Amino acid sequence: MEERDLERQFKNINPKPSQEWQEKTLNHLNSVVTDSLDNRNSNTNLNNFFNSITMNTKFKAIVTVATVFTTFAIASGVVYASDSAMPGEMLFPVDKAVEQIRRTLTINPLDRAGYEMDIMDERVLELKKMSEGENSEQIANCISEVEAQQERVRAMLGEMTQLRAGDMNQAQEQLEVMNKLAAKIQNNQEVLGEVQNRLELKSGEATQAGELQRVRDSYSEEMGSEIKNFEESTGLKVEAQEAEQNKGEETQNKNQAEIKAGDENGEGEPAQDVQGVQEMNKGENGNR
Amino acid sequence: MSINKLNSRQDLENLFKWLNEPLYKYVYIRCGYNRELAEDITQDIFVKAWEKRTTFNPSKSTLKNWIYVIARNYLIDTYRKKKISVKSFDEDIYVKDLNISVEDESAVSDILRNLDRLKEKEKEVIVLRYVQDLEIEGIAKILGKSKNTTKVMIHRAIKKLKYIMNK
Repeated sequence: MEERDLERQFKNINPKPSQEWQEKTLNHLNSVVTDSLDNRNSNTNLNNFFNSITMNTKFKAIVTVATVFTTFAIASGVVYASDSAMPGEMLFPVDKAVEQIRRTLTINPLDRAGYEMDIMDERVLELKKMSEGENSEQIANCISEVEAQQERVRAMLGEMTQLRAGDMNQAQEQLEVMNKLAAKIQNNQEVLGEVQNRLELKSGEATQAGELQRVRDSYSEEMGSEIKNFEESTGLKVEAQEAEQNKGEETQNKNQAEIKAGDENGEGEPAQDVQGVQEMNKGENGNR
Repeated sequence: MSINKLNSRQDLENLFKWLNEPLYKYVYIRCGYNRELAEDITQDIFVKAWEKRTTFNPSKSTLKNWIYVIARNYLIDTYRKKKISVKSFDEDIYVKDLNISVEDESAVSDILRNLDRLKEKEKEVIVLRYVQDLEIEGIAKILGKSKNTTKVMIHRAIKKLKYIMNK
């Protein structure tokens, strides 16, 4: 067979698809086109939206600034809110985490001692507030928190004692810090005494009152010991600053008045109230 | 009919009316003379063409050559996935589908039987050149070869077919 014959025969080969297939395929292609155009329209709408964001750099800048600002504001808000969080509340761990960060960032031992004392104030106030409520479990937690913070304060005072060796100028500087701390310790003892009295008057809180008594004794003893060490090694006398002292006296008088009023109203047992005042005074004397 | 754009529903319809039979013929011979399979594959080729319409560049290719490239690639993919079991031409089964005159039946059957004895690439160029009646330049673009190489490939393939048939 010659090439020309082959060509001719090949051209004769003419298989054709069925007409039914052609009609079905045309319908199918129509639906494919419809689907693709529908998708394109919905995509186009989305694309237009995103393009408008991408194209408008002014808008983009505003969104970026707003996002950063909002994030910062939310974070600040959470940190601020956590500061007043009570033990057992959702933000309390945040409060403790923030404290830990500040603790790490406060390198100067004098500043650090002041900071630990501020936290101690916070823990004591939290306990006081909690004692006004009925949540016995959280009161126990608060007492534990006070005890843990007390250990930190004691550790910082110990660190300060080591620092002052052979440096009287520094010792003088530390004396001022010590005076302030002593006043704060005194205040704390008074507030803790008030809390203890309240717990003793409450039914079912005798165990917590006993626990707080133990913590107060330990606080008084350990802080007194640190202050005594300082005085012995420097020859300087630590005295709680006057303003704080007066404030302490006012608190003490107020406590005694409250207890007296409680007695007159017949609340609680007078013997326990008197014991509470005596314990409170004992704590103060220990500090001095 | 000759169109060179694929932007609308009407363009696709026109393309289908223009090329569904040549493409079906190409696929039918390449996929082992299986009518149903050829119809399915041909339909898929037009769908693919619509999906890839944005890649068609009239300044680089004609729409006809472009859709043959799609068809060729689709067949290669289908072979690769082993969706096609290639059968040799069987006169008794397939000759009626070829729409040839009774007097030519024997000769065409003989050609197709021998065509199946060639390598797939040789068979491909013969189908494109003689069955599809495409220009050498167009075949070269479909295969991605130079015009001269394509010309040589076609010449060797047809020479081999003639040799086999005359043996």
